[in-house]
Amino acid sequence: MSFMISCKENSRLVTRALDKPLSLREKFLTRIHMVLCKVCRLYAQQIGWVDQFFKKRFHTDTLGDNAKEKMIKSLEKEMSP
Amino acid sequence: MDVLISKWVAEYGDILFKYAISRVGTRAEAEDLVQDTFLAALKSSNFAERSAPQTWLIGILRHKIMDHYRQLYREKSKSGETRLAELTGEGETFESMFTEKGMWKEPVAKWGFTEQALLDAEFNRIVNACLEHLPVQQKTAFVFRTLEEKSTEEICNDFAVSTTHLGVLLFRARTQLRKCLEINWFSGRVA
Repeated sequence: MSFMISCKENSRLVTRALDKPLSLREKFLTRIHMVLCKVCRLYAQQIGWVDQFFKKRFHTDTLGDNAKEKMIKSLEKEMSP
Repeated sequence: MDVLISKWVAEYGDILFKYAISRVGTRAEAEDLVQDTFLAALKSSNFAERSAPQTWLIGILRHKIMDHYRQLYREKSKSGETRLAELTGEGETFESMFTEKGMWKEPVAKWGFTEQALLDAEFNRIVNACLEHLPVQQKTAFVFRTLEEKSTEEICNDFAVSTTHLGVLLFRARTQLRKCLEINWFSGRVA
């Protein structure tokens, strides 16, 4: 039984792990692989970061006074009997 | 009624807008969604909710966002572009990143990342732009999985897509986003 999976397989598993937990065997295989393979370690780190960046990002835009006024007028019009 | 409208827009307009734009990306779409949300709320006979509206309004907004994406997703599927895109490789597949033996074709460089970057306006601009440039189906999958934090089962149900197909979309989305960030931000920064 071989414990060495390819980089491709490792990447597939660590990416999939973001949505569905790995089985014990899969965890074991990826851990072994990443102890030995720095490139895959980096990839796993980065792909996890990508999710974090999007969760933590911010938008500086606000609705703004003009848009608000326009919206109020539209809503008043639509709600008038 | 008019007093209520002004009050709600003043108090909740920005909050709803910020939520919407983080899910849809363009100002025009976000404004439309916020307006639709207020309208639905005003027309609702659920007077009890009106005393503590914020959670309720966000709930309505989330439904509107879902409807918005459902429509985009359906339009995309109908046009047959999905088929073509899959054939021509819209986004990375495993095949393109690895050699036949399953080794990396291109080296993966270390990213010089600090928490400070998250506060940087330019970084955020790039992050937002990268998401905006994803193809519709990949963007939908990613937004609902990562931002709306829906389970894969829920997304499969809401968008009538198989687990396998969703897996492909999420993989492609994440790979594209990673590449986009690398090209536009990290490649200039030595770790």
